[in-house]
Amino acid sequence: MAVSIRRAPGLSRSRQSQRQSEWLAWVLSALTVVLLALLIYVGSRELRDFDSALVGYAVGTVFAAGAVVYRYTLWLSRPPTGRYFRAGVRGFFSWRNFRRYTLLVPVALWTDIFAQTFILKRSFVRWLMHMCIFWGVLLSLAITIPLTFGWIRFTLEPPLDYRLWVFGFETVSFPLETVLSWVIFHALDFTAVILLVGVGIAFWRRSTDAGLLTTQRFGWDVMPLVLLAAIAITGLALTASSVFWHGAYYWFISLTHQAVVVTWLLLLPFGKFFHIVERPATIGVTLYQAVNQGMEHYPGARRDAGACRRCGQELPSPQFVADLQATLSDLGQSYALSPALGALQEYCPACKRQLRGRAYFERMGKQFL
Amino acid sequence: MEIKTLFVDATRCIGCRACEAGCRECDSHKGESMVMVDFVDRGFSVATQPTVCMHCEDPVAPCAQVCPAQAILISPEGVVQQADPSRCIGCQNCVFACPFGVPKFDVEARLMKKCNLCYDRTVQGLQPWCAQACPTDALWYGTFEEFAARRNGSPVSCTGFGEMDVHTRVYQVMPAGTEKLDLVALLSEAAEGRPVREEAWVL
Amino acid sequence: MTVNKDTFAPRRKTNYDLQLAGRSPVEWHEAGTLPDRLVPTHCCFCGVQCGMFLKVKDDEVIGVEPREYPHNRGALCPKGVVAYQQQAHPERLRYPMMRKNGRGNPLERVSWDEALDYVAGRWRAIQAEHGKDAVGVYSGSSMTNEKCYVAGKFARVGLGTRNIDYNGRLCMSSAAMAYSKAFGLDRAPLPLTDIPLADCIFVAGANIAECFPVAMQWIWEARDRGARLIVMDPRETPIARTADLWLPVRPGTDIAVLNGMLRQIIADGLVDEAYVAARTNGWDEVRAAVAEMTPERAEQLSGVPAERIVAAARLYGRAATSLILHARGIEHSTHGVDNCLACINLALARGQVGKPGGGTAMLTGQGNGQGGREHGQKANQLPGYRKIDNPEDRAYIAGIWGIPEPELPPEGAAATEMVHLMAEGTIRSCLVLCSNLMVSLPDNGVVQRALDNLDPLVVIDFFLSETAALADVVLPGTVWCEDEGTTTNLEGRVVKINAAGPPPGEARTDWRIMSDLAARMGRGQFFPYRTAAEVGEELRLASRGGAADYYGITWERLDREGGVFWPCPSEDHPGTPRLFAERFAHPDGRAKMFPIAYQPPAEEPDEHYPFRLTTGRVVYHYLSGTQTRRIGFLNSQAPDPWVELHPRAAAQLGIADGELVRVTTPRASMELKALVVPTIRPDTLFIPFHYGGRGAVNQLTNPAVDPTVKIPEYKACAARIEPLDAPATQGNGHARRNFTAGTNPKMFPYEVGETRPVEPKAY
Repeated sequence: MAVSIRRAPGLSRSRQSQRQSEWLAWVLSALTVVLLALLIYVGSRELRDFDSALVGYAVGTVFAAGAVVYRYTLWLSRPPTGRYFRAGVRGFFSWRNFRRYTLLVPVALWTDIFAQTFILKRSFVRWLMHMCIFWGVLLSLAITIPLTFGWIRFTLEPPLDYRLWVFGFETVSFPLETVLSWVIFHALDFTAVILLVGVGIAFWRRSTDAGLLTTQRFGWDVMPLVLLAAIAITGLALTASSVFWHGAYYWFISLTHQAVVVTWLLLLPFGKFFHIVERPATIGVTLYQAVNQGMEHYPGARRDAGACRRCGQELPSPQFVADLQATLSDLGQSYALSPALGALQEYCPACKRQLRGRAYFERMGKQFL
Repeated sequence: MEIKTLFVDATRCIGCRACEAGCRECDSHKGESMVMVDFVDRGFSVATQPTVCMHCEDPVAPCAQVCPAQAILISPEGVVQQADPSRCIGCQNCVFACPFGVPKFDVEARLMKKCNLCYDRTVQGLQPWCAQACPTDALWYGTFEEFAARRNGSPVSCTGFGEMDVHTRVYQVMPAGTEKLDLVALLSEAAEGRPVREEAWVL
Repeated sequence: MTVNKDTFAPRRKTNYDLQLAGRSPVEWHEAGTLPDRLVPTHCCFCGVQCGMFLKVKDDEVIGVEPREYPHNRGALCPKGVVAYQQQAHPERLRYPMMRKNGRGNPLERVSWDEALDYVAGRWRAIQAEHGKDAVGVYSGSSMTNEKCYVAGKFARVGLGTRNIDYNGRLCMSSAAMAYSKAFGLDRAPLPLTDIPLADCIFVAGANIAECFPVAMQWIWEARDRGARLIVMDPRETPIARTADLWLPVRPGTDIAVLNGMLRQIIADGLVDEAYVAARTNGWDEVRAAVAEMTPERAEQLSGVPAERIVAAARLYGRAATSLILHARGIEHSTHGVDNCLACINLALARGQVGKPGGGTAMLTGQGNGQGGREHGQKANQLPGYRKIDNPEDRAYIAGIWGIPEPELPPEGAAATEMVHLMAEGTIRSCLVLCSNLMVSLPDNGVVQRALDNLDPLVVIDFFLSETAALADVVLPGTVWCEDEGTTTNLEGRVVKINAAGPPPGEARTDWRIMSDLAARMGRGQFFPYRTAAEVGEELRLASRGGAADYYGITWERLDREGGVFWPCPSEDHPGTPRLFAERFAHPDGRAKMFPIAYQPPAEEPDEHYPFRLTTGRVVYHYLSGTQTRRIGFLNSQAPDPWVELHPRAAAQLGIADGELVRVTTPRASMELKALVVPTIRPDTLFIPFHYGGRGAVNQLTNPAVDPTVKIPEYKACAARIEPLDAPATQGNGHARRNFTAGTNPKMFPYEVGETRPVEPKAY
């Protein structure tokens, strides 16, 4: 079922701060574009190493980087995000926290980013699927970007050696027609296969899992998978063309591949893939929670919980509640009830419901409408 | 387009939790209910109240606004969705910002979960599970006009929290002429003490 | 509801949402599986028999979908939603079990042949030595008409015993008798869909919100149309909470209120004299009998303020169409029949019976409580509501069954009497199916002795119930969605149950087990059934011409027509949703009214047992809880029994909310948690009855029964409650406080009508 989705809008911040953030975002993204362009220029030895056939990728990447920075800046300037960001940065650069939570950031990097064990809690297949897609995409990018920017280059060194140039500097050389060289030249094929496995699992899940079928949306959940599949298949087709088909259709396939990849790059800041950039923020949140909240996500975290004003049930720390109220206030909202009742955020969710129920039944008594 | 939404009339609620049982049957969160039935004060009365997501319209979705990851999206129809699993970073801002106490947080999966008005069912013209199962129509799904034609009381879409008024897509049914559920006024009334409500026991 | 999982353990892990870590994992592994078909059927639980679809994947039931059916309109209660979880439940019994090494040893898996041969062998021996009647059959109503029919036939033809009865004795027998006596026919005379036609609904002893949640939509719809609601109940139940008038009656004293109301109706000139003259007999005696029940006298007996009785009489009496709904609250009594007759008297005096939306209706509790009592598993009945002492009925059924009429045994013992026959050794072996005696019968100390006396006790069940755990032979049966058949709901609507999957393991459906047993008893030729449909065909024939005539109800009609109401004598007959519109079922076409005098419950409080203990249900559980206590969602809401008492009583006794207390009656005592709430009379205690073992309130209840129908008095006995630190005493200890009416006529300062000022305009 195709339900289109609009983003949470209407952040009722002052127009001025909004405009400031936009300015900042423009400036930062322009800086990023310029910086990247410079790096390409330098890294490809004044474009001498630059492969003009890959110019589409390079331009697309530079543009996407600018857009991501723009979007990321705006995102960070949202009151809730900004507050977490600042607290996260403060927490990260605190010597006291470093001593107390030495292992927290490495552990969080493992559980949240590289091994994604939190997905394992949701389901194993889902985790496997996500790991394949994650590593498939990440490794592909890690290879493609330096290549298209001209930062990496291979030259033939007679008699039968290849030399690797990184950022214009000469590095190792390795013999041609060995397993190693074969692996290096087909690295993108391997990542494409990994990616395809992940996408295949994802499609299989999305077509057989009743839960996913009830909630998925075409534009949000299925389209990205189609794009990834297209990238992987056209990429493999390039190899197939040169290895098995004697270069047949190579030009056409390469153009299609380039078009799909550039589309993907341009969509990066807008669709589901933004979470690739967004997700590392989870470490900041984890740190924030560990420092202020004592949520026991990780061993050794300190507990410093608040209590519900009505029932005494455990709440996050007073710091969290204060930050949340400040965020709400930035958004032009205040749920201060009265001096006697305090603010709504000082109650646990169950008590909030019961307070409303009390008010309702104070009005209704034993009436039946 | 006529807008179908939920109407909550807690006076009809018998506390049977059919809504919770029904909600748990959704394939996307099997075994977990996104609707909650609470005793208002069991030490005083058997009155119960079902809470579904109210789908706030003004201010639009405080939960989405305080979400640092923009994980909570809102459909064009104004239905506030559950956090997108790919984005939710588990900060719980939404859980504690929500003025109605709706979102749930799954600690292990690090994921916020809440009612999204069963859009898999509603797009097919069906009712959400909770309203479908509810044997008393305390949770009722339909348009404003249909409601007015068949039921008494006036649907109220505004809840007052002190200085803040929150307008919601979901209605609460109150006596005719009521404009909003004024939490603070009513709670202070309750706190001032009411006449002794002792049943007339003859032993 | 009256409790939920927050009540006693507010910080339990699964309590608030998913907030706390360590929540229970998803219980049903099929989450995420897509069904391959939807099976239309009905719920297995209460008498409403809501329509539902079961989602099935590879013969396993994986979920439920709402089904628009005329009487539930797609709604389901929490039990109905999760009922499907029984089919693939890990605790299902999958193979026969016996105590191979003799009594006292554990149950062990055996083959069907071994189990059936053993049982048949023992029965032959017992019957040869002690006569046919030494083997009994104790059946139940929560199964299809076809199974009920086979149970009756199996006892009488397969075993030749007179001792067959069923658990409907414990729930519907008094209402059934009252309706038979007054109207000549035992069925609720109107469908649920007629309830909104009423202008006043008087709910007498029925906690409809918890016991029949889906029926509530019709009552609320009536109120949406302006109907007034009166509720008579010792507890302020969810339906009583918003009622126009709540009559907090002292348990067991309902006749005082009912007669008081009738007297007031007469005094106010609200009797429909023309109707009474034209359509009833016995009015003068009734009029004379209620004359003594002044509101003041009624108040003194029942504890309901006189003003409220008068107000109730006027609210009820002035309504153009008024409906009385009654259930176990008044029926579980040593004068249960009279309680129902007193209600019927009210309705007849107001000329309501036979009017659309008016009259009286019993709310049958069990899934097939109506059908189960029509098809011959009741001690005094033969299929089609035929009487076993009527020569014509006997001859007809003997003919259908193909046995000589003299071979058909006479009436046997009632269920409550069978227990005593077992205890004294007259019944030496018993087949129990669809029943959990250890939870459901009163004074279960006696039940335990009775069951221990049986050799062998044979139980057919799909879970190891408390009773099955005592059995010598346990035979695995099927849950409702593993067999086809029909049930008859509380309206008299016959509905079709469809099979969604095969039984698990070696389990067999009940009628097949009984056919197999009959074959081994040498009576196989009378049980040639291959499918449930063949049983259904025989049932139609057997009921033909009887009071409950199913002859016209073919299975094909049921799903097509949204159920068919009996009597339905031919296939082109539309069925009979409304009864008594023109005439009653007595030969003269008139209803009979019986003068009812006030009678106290069998056990009144005294200084040692100052409270009245009443028992009842909770929405999450069904009957003895064998099924619902095994379903996670339901059991987590109310996992243990509790005792409800009023804060004033609690304060005087020094009992705190949530404290473990001891409740003692002259029979036994049990320990459970106190729920201190003002929604119950201060002189009354309430304990739900769905629990087994040390949590069974039927350790405490009074085994006294109604003299005619033998229904036990579950709803009123004398009791004492005390904190655990009070010295444990059995019998005549000292009561700490005396809450009896005699010593404390007005225990608390009170004023009438504080809670709900009676609106003057209404009267």
